[in-house]
This record gives sequence, C-alpha cells and structure tokens, in this order.
Amino acid sequence: MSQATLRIQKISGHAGTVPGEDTQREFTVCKLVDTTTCIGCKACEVACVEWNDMPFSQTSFDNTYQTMPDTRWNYWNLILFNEHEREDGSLQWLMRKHQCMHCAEPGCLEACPADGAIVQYTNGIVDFQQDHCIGCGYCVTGCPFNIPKFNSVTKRMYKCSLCTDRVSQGLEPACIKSCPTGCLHFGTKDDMKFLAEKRAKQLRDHYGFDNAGVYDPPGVGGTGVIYVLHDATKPELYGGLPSNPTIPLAVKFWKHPLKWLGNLALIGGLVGLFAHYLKFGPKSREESDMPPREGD
Amino acid sequence: MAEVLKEINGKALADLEDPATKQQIKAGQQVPGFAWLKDDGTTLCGNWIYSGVFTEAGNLSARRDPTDPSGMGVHPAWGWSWPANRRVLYNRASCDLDGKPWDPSRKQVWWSEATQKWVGNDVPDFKADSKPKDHMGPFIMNPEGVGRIFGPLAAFADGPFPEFYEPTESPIDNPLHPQQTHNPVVKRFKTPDDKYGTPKDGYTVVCTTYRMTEHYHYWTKNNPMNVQLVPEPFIEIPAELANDLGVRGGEKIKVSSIRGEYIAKAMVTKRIKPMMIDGKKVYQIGFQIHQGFRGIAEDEGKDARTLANTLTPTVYDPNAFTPEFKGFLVKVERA
Repeated sequence: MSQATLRIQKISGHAGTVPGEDTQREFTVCKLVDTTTCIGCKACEVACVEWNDMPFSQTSFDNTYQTMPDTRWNYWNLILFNEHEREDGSLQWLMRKHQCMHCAEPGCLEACPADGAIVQYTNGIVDFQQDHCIGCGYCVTGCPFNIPKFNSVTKRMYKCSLCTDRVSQGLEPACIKSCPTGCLHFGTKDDMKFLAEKRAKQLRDHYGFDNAGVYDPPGVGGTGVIYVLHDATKPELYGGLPSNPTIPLAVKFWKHPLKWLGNLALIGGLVGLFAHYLKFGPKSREESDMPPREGD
Repeated sequence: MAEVLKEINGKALADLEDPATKQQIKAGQQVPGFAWLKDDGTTLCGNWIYSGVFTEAGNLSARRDPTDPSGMGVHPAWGWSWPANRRVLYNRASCDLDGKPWDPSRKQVWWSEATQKWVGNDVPDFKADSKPKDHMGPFIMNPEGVGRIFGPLAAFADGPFPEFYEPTESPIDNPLHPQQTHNPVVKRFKTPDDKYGTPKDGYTVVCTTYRMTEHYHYWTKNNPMNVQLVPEPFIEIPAELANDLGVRGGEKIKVSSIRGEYIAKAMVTKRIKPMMIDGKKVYQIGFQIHQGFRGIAEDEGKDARTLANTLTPTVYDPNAFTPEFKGFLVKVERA
C-alpha cells in the first residue's frame, strides 16, 4: 500500500521523510485488558483466527489450559495462564491476554532494516507490511515482548495488527467484539487510561488488592495495549510480562551512534583512499619487486 | 416483533359479547384479555397468560410511564406484566377473610362493597366478583387454593421436605444420619453391569466430570478450531496426588471406577487441594467429557478413545431423573 499518506507517522528502514511524521492527530487508539475480570474463555483467540482467516495449527497437551506455549505466525493472540500461590497460601489463577503491545516507540520498527516493512499509523497502531518484509528477523531483537513470529514458508514476519482493517472503518477489533465478560475495552488512549485507573482504584479500595494498578510501560513510550493487574508490582506473574521493557540497548546503539560511526568509517575509508592516491600516487614497482630477467 | 406479539395476545374471529358487562368486540379485533378466550373456535390466541399485552389500545408492553400513584412500587403503566398486568401474584392474600387489607399502610387490593368487586392499586389476581364470604382461596393456581409450606407427596418422590443425602458412591456416611446415607427412593438401573464401588474396594478418590468452554458436548471434537484449543482429553489431579503417584504433568494415567476406565494425560494442578473429611485426607479429581470414540484426534490415534460416562454411576434422581455424573468414587494409577 502507498506510504504517501498522512495516516502513517513512522516507517521502518526509510530514507527520506514520512508524510505523517509530526502531524497532530486527535487521539491514539488503545485496547484495555482487565486481567481481573478475564475468565480465560479464549473467545478472543478464536475471533482473531477467524477474522484474519488464519489456518489452524497443530497443538498438543502441555499440562495447562493455555492453548500453546507462545504466539505463532498464525496465532497472534494467546491467553497465558499461571497458577500463582500467594504468601497466605491462597491461589490465584492469573490469565493475561498476550499479543503485540503496539508500543508508542516500537522496538521492532526501530530495528527493521527494510523500507516500509513496519509502519506506525498516526493512531498508534504498529503494522507489519509483509510485501516489504525481507524476513531478516531483526524485529524479534528489537521487541521487548518477543512478539514477531516468522513463517518459514512465506519467509515473512507476522503479529497482531490491532485489527487496523476494522479500526480504520470505525469498528472495534475482533477480540474486543467477542469478549463475553466485557473485560476488553477499546477507545482512545486517554479514555482507556481513565477507565483503567478507575478500575485499579476500585480494586485497591474495595477488593483488597492493595497493589492493583495499570501496566503502561514508559520505557517504550507507553503502549497501545494496557493492562489492569491485581498486582502491578509483579507483572512477571502474568505470563512473564516484563516489568520495565525498553528497546534493547544494542538496537539503539546499532541504529544510532554505531550507524553513523559505520557511515563515517565507510566514507572516511574511501576519502582516505583517495587522499592517499593523490599524495603518494599509484603503487610504484621497485627493482626488487620485478621478476628476474633472462640472463641475470 | 410487534406482529408476533399481536398474535400472542390473541384476537376475536367472530363478534363476541361478554354476558356480564355487555361489552362487545368485533371480529378481527384484539382481545382485551384472557377472560375473552373461548374454546369454540371464535378466538385465536398464542399464549393465554400474555393475552392483554397488545390490545386495540396498542402494544402495552412498550409503555414507559414510570408513575406510581400509590407509592407501593406498582408502576401499573410501565410495560405490561403477565397475567392481565397483575404486578404481584396471589395479591388477594394481602387481605383478611373480609376483604380488608391486613396492613392499612400497604393496600395492594381490597374488596369494594359499593361496586361488589375486588379493586386496588394493583390488578387483583383473583376472580373479580367473588365475595369474601365465599372464601375462595387466594392461591388460584393451586387446586387447594392455599400456599404450600412443603411439597405434597404427589409432587416429590422424596418429599415433603428437602433433605441431604450422599451420592451413591461416597467416601463417608451421611453426617446428618449415618443410618440412611443414601436417598431411599433414588433410582438405579438393575443389570449385572450396574455395580457400585466403595472405599473398601479401593475406590478412595472422589471424581467429578464437567464441560469446557472450548468444546461443546461431543460434536466439537470434529471441529478443527475447537481441537486446536483443546486437542486432547486430560484429567485434572491435585499436585499432592501426583506426588504420591510419582506422576508428572502430561504423563498418562488411568482413572477407574467399578464400572469402567478412562485413560488420558494428567494435568497436575494446584487449583484442586486435598480435603480433610472426617479426619481423613480425601483427594478429588475431575475430567471433561468431550473426547470419545471418533473425532479429529481420535481418528489420528492420538488419544485412548475411552469415554467419560463408562465411569459414572447408573443412578438417577427420583424426581428429575438427572444421572449422578458429578460425584462418584474412582482409583487413580499410572497408565
């Protein structure tokens, strides 16, 4: 699809300007997942597979209600189950809907070398454009949540698109539509933050969850998917949610200072080569270099 | 929707007249209420208790007048309540034998001497012209006309009072009365295969069966989407029991009752804890019913093709005939 549109604010691996960069948009969209009211019914998993017409995978029993160990190229949304025993001996069965977090500062986009393979729309959705993807897998290095998945047949990377095809037509994502308990909400980031903080306060004030809070990690500039957690001080209990995700230092180093150092080295090398030629001329052959002549 | 509601209300097929009030309705008109319905083919009605919901005045169920003139919470013009817009059933019981309300501050209905009819803030749930001295019972839908404190023997096989009994296969005697542990009128099948196990026979683990959100009864084992979500049958056992058996999650175990056996992978979980009953530690396990003999996984030879209900007892409730699928005794071992 054409990238000459104000709806895109960031393009991976792109030389030149991005039309939508620095434009003002009224709001960014956000999906709110309230883990405290999720029942792990997997309607959202099914809705995602059905809406995106994805082929079914082989799965096997793994001592858990969790459908599979991790998301796949054809399974973008997965409920992670964790039986957590608290200090007082009581048990919590924690369930978290796991999918792309649509970071405001996406590590995948930062790391991607292919022009236009990853775009970020002005509404915050981060989308993979498979027709530009070269399947290098650098996005996996950039992502602090380990989301992008490779399809070994098409050799492209895939992940949740926050139903950009639905959202752009004014519809809510498929997962939100299918949720029977209403623990999934969709709206503007401001509205979802407000709702999330309200729910977290209710959990703290009335339900004895003193550490309830909202997960919206600042290390990636905030995310397009936020969680209400019973215990916001321990996100790792919820299927390994990182407590302070950031774009890996190696990626940041590689794409900024190292890139320019590399460019400098390349240009400098060529310039140096040329300067040396100008000063010292071509390599002259000395007597000792010449092969012995006949009769010597 | 409105058309369907009109038919449910009912209409006259011929010109009708009410002999008492001399009120007349024409053929094709909606009947005002169930009192007009006849068994001679001159009226047509979808459901008598809803007769009166959609009269010639229109769709009364769509009314949204919240006023409550009596302050009794009746709201007579908000929607329409079956039967005949009566808001409290058997409301004649709110009055004494003379037709005077027991509580003068809460008058729902009363007998009016002047008009010789029952009237009130609510529509009387009673024969309107039945004089109080005739002592017609207020519980008009019961043959005896009065309310029931306990179920008559004809209604319950094990009435008149509800009572607690242990399931046919139980690890303990009935704590309320050990000499009658089981329901004396519970129904059992009587073929030689209908055996019942006891803890002394080695069946010491309590078992239950249930259903999952990811599957629906027995046909979703043929649907790739459901099979993707839950591909194989499994048996949920407490971590402590798994420890005792030396079983890890994912290893095959065999659960058997005196009637049959079920083989599937173990799901070792902390969610089920052992129980202390009568001073003894009792384990409970459970498994879901959805896999069976044919299906996607079954046809690929991926599971043992054992059926949940070969284990459950062939005992059923004497009133509702529900089988005892939810509580029985088994033993658990490695497969």
